[in-house]
This record gives sequence, structure tokens and C-alpha cells, in this order.
Amino acid sequence: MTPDRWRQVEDLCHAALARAAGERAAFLAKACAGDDALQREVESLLAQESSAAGFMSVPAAAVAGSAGLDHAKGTLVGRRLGPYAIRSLLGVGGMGEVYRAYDHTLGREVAIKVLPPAFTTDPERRARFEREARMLATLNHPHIGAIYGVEEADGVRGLVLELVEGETLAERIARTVGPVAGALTIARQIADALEAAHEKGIVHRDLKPANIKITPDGAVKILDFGLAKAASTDSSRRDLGESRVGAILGTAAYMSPEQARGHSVDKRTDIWAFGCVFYEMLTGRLAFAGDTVSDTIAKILEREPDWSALPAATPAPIRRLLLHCLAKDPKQRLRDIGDVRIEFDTIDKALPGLSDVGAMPSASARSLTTWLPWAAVAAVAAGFGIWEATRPPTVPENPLANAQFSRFTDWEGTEAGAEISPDGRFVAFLADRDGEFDLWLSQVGTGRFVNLTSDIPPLVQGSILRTFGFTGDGAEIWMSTGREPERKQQLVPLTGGTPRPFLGDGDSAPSWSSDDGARLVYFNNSPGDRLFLADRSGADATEIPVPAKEEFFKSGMHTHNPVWSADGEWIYLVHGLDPTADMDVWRVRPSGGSPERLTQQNAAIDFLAPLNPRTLLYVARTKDRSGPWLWALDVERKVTQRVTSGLDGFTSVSASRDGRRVVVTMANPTSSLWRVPLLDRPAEDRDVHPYSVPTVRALAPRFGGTSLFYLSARGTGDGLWRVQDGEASEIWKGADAALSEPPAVSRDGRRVAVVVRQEGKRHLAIMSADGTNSRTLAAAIDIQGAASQGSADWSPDGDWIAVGGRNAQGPGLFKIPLDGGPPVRLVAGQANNPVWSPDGKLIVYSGPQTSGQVALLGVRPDGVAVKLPPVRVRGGAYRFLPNGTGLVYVPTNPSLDFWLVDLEKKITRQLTRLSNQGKLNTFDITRDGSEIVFDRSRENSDIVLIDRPE
Amino acid sequence: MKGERVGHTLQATALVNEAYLRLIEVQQVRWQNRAHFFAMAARLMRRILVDAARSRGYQKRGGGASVLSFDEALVVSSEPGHDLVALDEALTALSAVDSRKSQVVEMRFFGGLSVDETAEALHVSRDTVKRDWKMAKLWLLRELRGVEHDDA
Repeated sequence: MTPDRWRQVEDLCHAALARAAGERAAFLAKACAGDDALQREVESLLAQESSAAGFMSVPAAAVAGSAGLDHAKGTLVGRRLGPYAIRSLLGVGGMGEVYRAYDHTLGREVAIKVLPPAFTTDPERRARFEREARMLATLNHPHIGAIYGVEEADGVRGLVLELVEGETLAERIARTVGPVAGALTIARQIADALEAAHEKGIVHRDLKPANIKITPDGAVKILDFGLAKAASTDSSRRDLGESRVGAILGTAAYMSPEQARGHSVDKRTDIWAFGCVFYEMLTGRLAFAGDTVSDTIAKILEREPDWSALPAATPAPIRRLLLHCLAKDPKQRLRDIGDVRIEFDTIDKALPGLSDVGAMPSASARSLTTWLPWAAVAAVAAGFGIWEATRPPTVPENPLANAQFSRFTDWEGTEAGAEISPDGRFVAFLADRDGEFDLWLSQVGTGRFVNLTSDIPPLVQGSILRTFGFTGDGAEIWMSTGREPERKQQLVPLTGGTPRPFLGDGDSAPSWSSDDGARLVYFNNSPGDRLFLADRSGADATEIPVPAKEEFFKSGMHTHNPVWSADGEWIYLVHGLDPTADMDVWRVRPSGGSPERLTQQNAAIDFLAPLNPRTLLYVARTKDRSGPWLWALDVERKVTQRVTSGLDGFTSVSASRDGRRVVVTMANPTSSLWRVPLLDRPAEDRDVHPYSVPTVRALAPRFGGTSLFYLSARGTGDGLWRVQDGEASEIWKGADAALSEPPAVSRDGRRVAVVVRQEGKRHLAIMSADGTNSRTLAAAIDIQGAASQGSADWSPDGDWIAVGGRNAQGPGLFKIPLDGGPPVRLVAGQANNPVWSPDGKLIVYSGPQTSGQVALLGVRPDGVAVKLPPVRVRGGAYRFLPNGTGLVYVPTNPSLDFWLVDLEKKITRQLTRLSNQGKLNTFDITRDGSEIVFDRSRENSDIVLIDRPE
Repeated sequence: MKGERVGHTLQATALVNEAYLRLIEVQQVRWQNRAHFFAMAARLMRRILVDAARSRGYQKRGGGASVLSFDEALVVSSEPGHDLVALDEALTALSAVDSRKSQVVEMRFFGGLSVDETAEALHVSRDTVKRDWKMAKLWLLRELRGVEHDDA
């Protein structure tokens, strides 16, 4: 097509469009005067006209903010819209700009939301929107932001809304570290509002913290009610909810599974969103979060939220409520938001004043463990009989909630199969500490371990079969020795001595009844694995009669690890297809009968540990072979749940008779602390010793005052811990993902700074050493630097924090005053991981990275550069000696050794010569300057003791 | 570069691809004039969005939005018929027929510029931009729908 022709086509198009639709055909025919090709060309273009209005009407990457294409931001200020005088721009919402305006006729202030051009141009859309707005205007509720009307003037169309002062719930959650104070009161008000709307048949469809405002007197106001439907482009299509139809400008994190799937939306969608918001208020993090929208949606559809992130003292009814609201199948979900109000009322009666926990609205985050007294929680749980009876079965509570986890061994090598004696005092386990696998015994609390099999041929290391255990009276240990097929059981007293034979050929995995220890169950390791009962000594054995036993015990089927239930009424066992490890937990009466299947795991299962007549712990993989994980089975409801989240694999579980103490073997990539002294000669492997801390996992150590701070976890994401006077406690848990970098501790150990991620940026959160009084510092600076080394450091006098990052003016090294003044830029350009000298006169930091190394640079607190000896280090890996004469640093790979640079003498020397035994991440120097404490991660297995409360 | 219009455009760009802006080191490049900047920003946006769409393999099918994000909070909108990759190709084809119209689309749709900003950047009148925009949409719709025509 020639340019001239194209111009002709254009002109004709414009001319035709200027005419009424009915006249166009005639006009074209005349104008083209027989040029059929031209006419066809123009007509084919005009045919697109009806779709053109909606085509590309919103920019490709519209952020909540571009209200329309035709006016720049905030230009309506000063204009009038009917009786409204537009005063100022309040902000930018999902559907357009929101202004503060003054209503001259009624003498009140209002908010006006300016609607995008699509609402002005498309008449059908506009009409439907008006109908919806009219219906929404009938919603009159103290907790719902009112719609006053729609106003149009000069081509600008706006929705007139109640002006609500105060912050949004999203803002409050963002600035609160930990759970939001008054979460229950807020949740209750939200539920009230939803109830009123649902009664009128109005569904919000887009409930999220950004739509929920909290006024200065603490009242909740939900905004943008039902506007999502009003905004939908196509009424003829099924009502799909804002999230799916046409222009979506928002977040997927609150979408319900049915919304994500494109199904229709109803009030249960609001209930889902309510669950997400409530969860977020209690944990400070999103219930479903992913790096991308598709990841988030995948989590919504397939994964449960991290239930362990709920504050430890969250009452069970609240947990159940959340579970019920976040049931993925809408048919299983809480049906009526009014039930939430009933729930809260009941809690209020049991614990008056509970809903007002924490002053509103500006209380700082409280220590998690003091949120609710445990006794009060028990009272609430007891009073909930009615609720239990009328609600459908839900997932049982986590039997390990509030349990104390403590490391039992921190040996090198592998441990396996840990068993605990019935009275909970002794633990036996396999370990290869002495080279080959032996059976070890220890009394809890003594720290002493005895090798029981050092003189005995190596133990058969059973992968799924229990190969040792305690007898019913706890006085002896039975164990398997020898190899297939001559495997035999033997008994050996705890105090040691000669083993004596026990049971017959092939008899395996005996388990004594827990109530009286008088009876024994075991299985025979021959084709079919039949089950037998005997008396406590193994005599008078009888087979457990099972009808159609040929089917149950047929070749290929495998039954193992039978255990007695806590009340002696049942035998639990693992049964399934051996070659494919398709197993499940079953139970059968000791007197015989048809075995009953209890789980649908269809995966490899080991080790059954009854906690009480209702709960059974066991270790199993999932169908996709991940794990093995720890699971809890509610035997009555036949419901299973995974008991711990996180990456820790569990390879064994065993419980004491009273279920109060559980011992597990955890096989996981772990991190622990080690110490190496600073000597005159380079220290070697033999000089390195574990640095003991009470938690199972420890990394990123930092000394301050008389405390040690580090990161650790209780089976899930890492939080900040402190050891003081030999006691460790978790003082802070990240609102977002787990913490991953060492904290910055003030010299006196009284304050801590942590780097938190928020909306893709990293900021400092300052708090007292017990985790209270937390606040964000210098939000304008996005922190940069090698995260694993710690990005910030305090000045010795505690008045400043140095940090590398970038603000609106660009990257640099900053010192931030703690009194709230503006940050001072010390260095411009990339400068990271500062450390402040003990005399306060020098800050050492990393320059830009080249070839994986950085240069050590220096600056005085007044900004004057200081020249340092030329040393190239691994990014951020350097710490001052307490006497300030030099820095300990790690040069780049491949060595994992520590070096020292003496700043006065300007020389370097090697401090350690270690073999490469695991990844070293972070280190610090003890206050007296005598040792380096560092963390090392490695694949390891450890025995862990779990003490359950109550 | 000053004035709130620039701020508006920058905000949209910056929010979406902060990382890319850092790469460009906006402050260090000498822009010949505002028009040059706007044109570059829009072109960059187009490239980033289309590349992202291509790499994620998201193709529009029927109704509903394509979901494309740079962070978890952003869902890219697209009205019916949008497949950014196909649109990009169609736009390239349009530029062979009429490069100014292609630029108008690039600036308005990918760059998020207003009619006035586009007019200033291209040194044409508001009316010209509006007419170009209209024609371009018709042409692109036709192209996307695979209707046979003279330029095909």
C-alpha cells in the first residue's frame, strides 16, 4: 500500500466515523466511487470500530495510579464537580485517583473517586455501574464506608464517598512488627460489616487490608464495597469477580480458589478473604504469598498457610475459625459470616476483655508469648462443646503446639531411630560416631552417653523396621542383631551386661502395651508378616486372628511396626504394598477382627508413636517422595495433618507413655555454631569446638553486651534469638519471610537492628533486646549489601547506625541517627556492609564487587576517607577486634579461613588453617577478643527432644 | 527534566521496572529533550513487557486477563483480545505502514503517556494524536484478528 493510498484510507475512515452508523455504508459507496478494493479496505477497518473503545484503554502495565490517560496526576485539584469543590489529592486507588472535596450544599467533607474514561465512554457500562452504585448506597452500616452518589461534570465522572480518616489496615500491618494489637476487635468489626452486606445480598468481592480503614478512634470502615461487580465490563458473562474480568489492578493474594479458577463468586469468597485478612493481622504476613502472581495463585490452590506462624498463644477456637474460613473447597468453608460473630461472643464470655488485648490503635507489638495466658486458653477450649458438636470436623490442633524443642545430640555424623523409654527418662539411638553404627543410650539431662554395642557385632540398621526399643518396664532394651535371614532379637539390661535371646526366628519389632506393659505385640518377618500377641516375656504367643487373612497378609503386602494404643484397646500398624512403599496406618483389635485403615498416605511410613488415645504421631513421606515429615493422626476423625513445616526431615519418632515427651531424629541441613581461638599460630581443625547454645539450630551469631544474638528456628522459618545467662529465647520473628541475615547489636547489647523485607525493599527495624519497642528506621533507604554478613552496624555510643544502601539520590554509605533525624550520606556510590571501630573513629566498608571480591575501604564518621591496607575480602566478611587494632576477615574462596589485618602495623596474618568442612556463613568475635564464633551449615542428623506442655 | 508530567510517567515506569531503571542509570544519560526521553522510556517499557510476556509463555486465550507481573502486587491488565506478544508483532507490522501511528501506540499503551504528552513528544497536535490513535487501534484490531487486507 502506498503512502497516498493509506492517507486516503485514513481520511475515509475518519469521515465515515464522523457519520451516524446507519449512514456509513452509503457514504462509503459514494466516496469510493467504484474502487472496490478501497471500499473493502476501509470497511474491514471500520468493522473493528465496536471493539475499539475497550481496546488498549488502559496502559499495558497500569499501576494503581494512572487514573486515566488524559489527565496527569492530581490536576483536578481546585476544580468543581457539581456541588463539590475538589480540595486535594488523597491518593491513588485501584480504580482511579481519590480526592478530598468539600460539599457546599451539606457542608461536609467527602472523598471523590475519579473514574477512568472507560466509565465515561461506554454507556452500557455506565448504566450498570449506576445501578450497582444505587444498590450499594442502601448499605448503611457503621463499619462500611458509605457511597453518597455519582457526580459528573465536564467529562469528569466521580463516585462520591464517605471520607474516612485514618490509616488502612494494610498500613497498620506494614508498620507493626508482629501481630496487630486489637486484631480480634478489628476482625469482629469486619465480620459485622460483611454480615450486614451479605444480608442484603451484596458481596464485597475484593476484601483486603488496603480496603479496610481504621479511624483514629479505632473503628473499622470497609471501603470499595461491591464496586468490583459494578466495574465489570460484561454483564452477559457470568459474574466472575473483579479479579478475572477485564482490567485487573490489584493483588492476587486475597483471591479465593474459586475466584482463581474463574468460577462464580459469592459471599463465601468474602469469607475466604476475611480469613486471609485475619491471618495477616495475627501473623503480620500474607496467608498466601508468592514471588509472582502465578506462584501466589498456585499457593492459594494447593497449599495451606503456615499455621505455625500464628502466635503461640492463639486460642484453639480462633485457629479453628481460621481453618474453617480458609477451606479451599467452598462447600467445606464457613458458610455464614454471622458465625464469626457468634464465635467471638463466646470467646468474650469466657475471657472478658480478650478482644481488647493490646491498646488500640497505636500500641507497639507485644511479646508473643505474653499475649494470652495459657490457663485462659484452656478455659476457652473447655467451654466450646457446643461449637464442636455443630461444626463439621476440621483438622485437629497441632499436638506439638507450644512444645519445647531441644537438641539432644550435636554429634558429627548420623544418628537414627531414636527411641524413648516408657517413663521418658532414657533415650536410645543409633549413631556412627565411633565409625560404625552402634546403639547408644543416654539418660535425659545427664549429657552422658553409653555405647551399648561396642562389643557386639554391628547392628542391623533398619530403614523402616524398628530394630531396637525399650521393654515395657523400661528396664531393658531389645535389639536386632545379625543379618537377614538370621536376624535375631536380644535383650540387654540398661545397665549393660550380656545380651540374652528373645522371641523366635523372624519375630520383629516387639511393642509392649503402654497401660500395663503386660502384653506384647510383634510381627513375624516371613511372607505376610503376621501379627502375634504374647505376654511380657514373649511367651504364650498367639496369632491375632484376622478374617480373610490371606488377603490382608498376602505375599507382597507388608505389615510392620505394630504398637499398642495408649489405652490398650487397639494395635496400630503400618500396612501396605512393599515393593512400591504404598503404606498406610491401620488398626486392629488385639482380640482380632477386620483391620481398619486410618490414613490415605500411600507412601513410606515408619515409626508409630501414640501420644494419647486420640492422637498418633508417625513419620512418613508424601506421595511425591518428599520428606520424610512428621505427621499427626487424629484417630477418631481419621484426619491427618503434617505437624511441622519447614525443611527439616524427620526420620524417627517415639513417645513416652504419658505422651509428654517425644524424641525424634531430624535429618536436615542444619546450622550450628563453632568456636576457634585466636592463637599465635594458625589454628587447625583440632582447635575448633562446637559453641553450645540451647537451640537445635543456630546461625548468624552476634555478640552484644553480655548476650549472644543469633538466628534460629523451631521447625520453621528463622527468627531472632538471644542467649542471656544460659537461657535462649526467641525475641522476634520476621513479618515477611524468614530472617536471613545477622542482626546488628548495639555494644551494650540493649538494642538490636534487623533487616526486614517489605515490598521488595530492605529496611531496618530497631527494637529493644527483648523484642519490644520495635520501629522502622529510615524507610527511605533501601538496604544493599551482602546479606549474609550483616548490612548494618551501630556506633559504639549507640547514637548512630551505619548502613549501605540506596535512597532517592542514589547508592551510598549512610549513618542514620537513632533520634529520628535524617540519614547522613558518608560515601556516594556503592558502599556496603559497614563495621564501626570500637573507638568510634573509623567505619570500614566494602567497595563495589569485582571478580567476586571487594576492597576494604575506610571512612571517618565525618565523611573523610581513610586509606586502609590493600586487602581484598569476601563481600562483607570482616569484623573488628574488640580492641580495635585490626579486623578479622575472610578472603575469597577457596579457603574458608580467617585472617587478621593489623591496621596499625599494616600487615596481615593467617589465623586458621581449616579443612573445608561445611559452608561458613557468618562470624563474630567474642567480647574478650579471644575466639571467633562462626556458623557452619551441613547435612546432618540430630536427635531432638520435644517436651509437650499440659 | 522537571514538571509533574514527567514525574507521572517516571512513576509508572519506575514502579514497574525499578531494576531496569537502575541499569539505565537515568540520571547519567544526557537526554536531548523530553521527547527523546519519552520515546526511549516507552520503547523500553514495550521491550520489557513483551520480553516478559514471551518468556512466561502467556498467550491470551479468549476472555480474561493475561497475568503478568514484576512483583506480587502487580497484575497487568489487558482488555479483551490482548496477547502482548501478538500485539508487539502487529505493532511492528504497523510501523512498516505508518511509523508515527506505531509510535503513538507505543507511547500511549506501553509508555502510559497522555494525549498531550504524546503530542509534545512527537511534535504534532493533539488532534493528530487522537486520529492516529483511533486509526492505529482499528488497524491493530484487524491485524490481530487475522483479517485479510492490503498490507498483509
